[in-house]
Amino acid sequence: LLGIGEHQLTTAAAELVPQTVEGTPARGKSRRVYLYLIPAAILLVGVFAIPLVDSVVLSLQKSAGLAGTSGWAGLSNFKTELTSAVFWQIAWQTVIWTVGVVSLTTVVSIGLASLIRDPFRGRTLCTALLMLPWASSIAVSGVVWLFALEPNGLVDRSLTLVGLQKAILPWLANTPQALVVLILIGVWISVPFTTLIIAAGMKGIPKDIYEAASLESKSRLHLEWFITRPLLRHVILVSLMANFVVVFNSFPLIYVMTGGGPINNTSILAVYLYEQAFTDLDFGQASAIAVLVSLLLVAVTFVYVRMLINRPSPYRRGARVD
Amino acid sequence: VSTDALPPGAFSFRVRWGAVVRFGILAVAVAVSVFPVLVMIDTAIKPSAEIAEVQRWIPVAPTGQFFVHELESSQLWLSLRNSAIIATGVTVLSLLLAVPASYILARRAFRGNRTYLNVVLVTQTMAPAVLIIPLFSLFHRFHLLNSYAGVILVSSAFVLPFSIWLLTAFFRQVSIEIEEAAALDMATGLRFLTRFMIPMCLPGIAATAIWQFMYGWNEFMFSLTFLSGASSKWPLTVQVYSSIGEYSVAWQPLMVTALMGVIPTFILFLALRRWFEVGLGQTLAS
Repeated sequence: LLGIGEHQLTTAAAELVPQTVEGTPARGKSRRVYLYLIPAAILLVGVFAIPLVDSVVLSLQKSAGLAGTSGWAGLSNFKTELTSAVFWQIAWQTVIWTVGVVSLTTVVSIGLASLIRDPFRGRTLCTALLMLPWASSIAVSGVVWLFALEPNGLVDRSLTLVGLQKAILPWLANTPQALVVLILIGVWISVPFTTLIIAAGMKGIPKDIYEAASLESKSRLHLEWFITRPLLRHVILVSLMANFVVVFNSFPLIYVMTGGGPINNTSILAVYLYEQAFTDLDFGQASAIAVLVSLLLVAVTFVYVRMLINRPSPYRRGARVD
Repeated sequence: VSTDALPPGAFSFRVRWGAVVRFGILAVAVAVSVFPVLVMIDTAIKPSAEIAEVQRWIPVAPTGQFFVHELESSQLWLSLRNSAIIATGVTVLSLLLAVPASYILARRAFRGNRTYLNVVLVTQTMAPAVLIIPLFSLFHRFHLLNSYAGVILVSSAFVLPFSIWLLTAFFRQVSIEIEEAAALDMATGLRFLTRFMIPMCLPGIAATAIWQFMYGWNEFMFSLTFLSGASSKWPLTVQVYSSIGEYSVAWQPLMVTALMGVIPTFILFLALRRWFEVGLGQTLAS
């Protein structure tokens, strides 16, 4: 075999073979493992770490047009933002938007996941159609919803057909319903993936727990509340965090549908800072908002990770059924 | 109340009642889910006069002219091509980076293994809108604005974290004995990865790839910003968005374009669904 003696081969193999105790990853002996990790790390550093530092630097500078700066501004960009009524209004709207979309999404997804969990005729087709909002681009869906929500458009027509013509409003032209409409479409976008995650989590719950409990239990809802809910807590925490980040940071839907209007009334921080940068061409000011947003996200992530660590997965702890 | 006390009919009535409620809720949910696609199809076959006034669902005089006209337009195919270039670029680049990294993370315990995975996870919390400003300046300096490369690089970085987590979960499923056996054939490291690991985990890798492709296909903000000066490179998403800024919007061609954008990703999603659910289950369990 290419002139390699058997002895050499076995020693070579012994060196290379990962030494393991059943199923645990082997200890990498050479520095070669880092060669596999470095390419991905370079891209992550280039796109996340360097720009983040740049962002902080930019936020301390005075802006002069496109990608240009004119000297240091100290903390004045931050001072301008933190004392501006518009910033606080948009920050508050961001909270309403995020909490609204995430909480409604979670409730709807738990309901849908429990409905599609058990087999029934047409389940595959039904699930596939429910995933349609996730498979389509948010920007394109936003444009289509915009068209459908026009006065006398297809949303109004559908409401008339089911006898709800009294509920018709100028959907996106006025507050507060514009933000409510956007939140509902945000839920429409987020539900499919969340349902998928929660359904996957439900699949992980052993069937015999239900069987054992149903011997003495009252109703389906009772089972869901006392068995599914506590066992799903870990999965729901994961989906809450994933949705929180995505929804808080979401840009395309609001940008496409209202651009934050009318007069900033549907704007959120992500859209606001984008417009500060690329419409008003004030990179310094926009970076100050960006830094504030990042600090907030770091704080929330920290709290969340602490929560996850303090409350480990119920699977590991052993399921408790009262 | 014990069910034994009730006549047999009462119990089966209760069961059917539950099925009716379930069917009703699911019917409403499906209707709401497919609503925009119905709007696309409905609008694309309506003559302009029927869009201008009060709209009805069923067109009085449906027409296929917009479909025919739009499918012959070079604009539609150009934007589909651009979307395909970006989506393929994102898939190829992020797989090339994520597969080796995930393999090592799944298989070797080394200093920083856990830290690497956690740092990767933290990048996931960063707002694209936050990074887009410094990235714009950076790309300006390195002449990456108005090029596919810039959009592909940034989008790949954003799909990388979840890809690594998903692939790591798939690779962990392959038993370590197989790797030990393969090592006797001198198939270790990169050779083991390409000759054994990748073929064995092909379904998982395919699911990840399809997810990455969908992300690239549907990406909007980076293309909008970094390709703003090169309309010939606009993907379908930016093309659709830019046409609503026009003075009078031609809705039917727009809806045909939108439909052409949804069809490929939906078909891909159907192909990916089963493996995606399996992968999610693995990731959640770990």
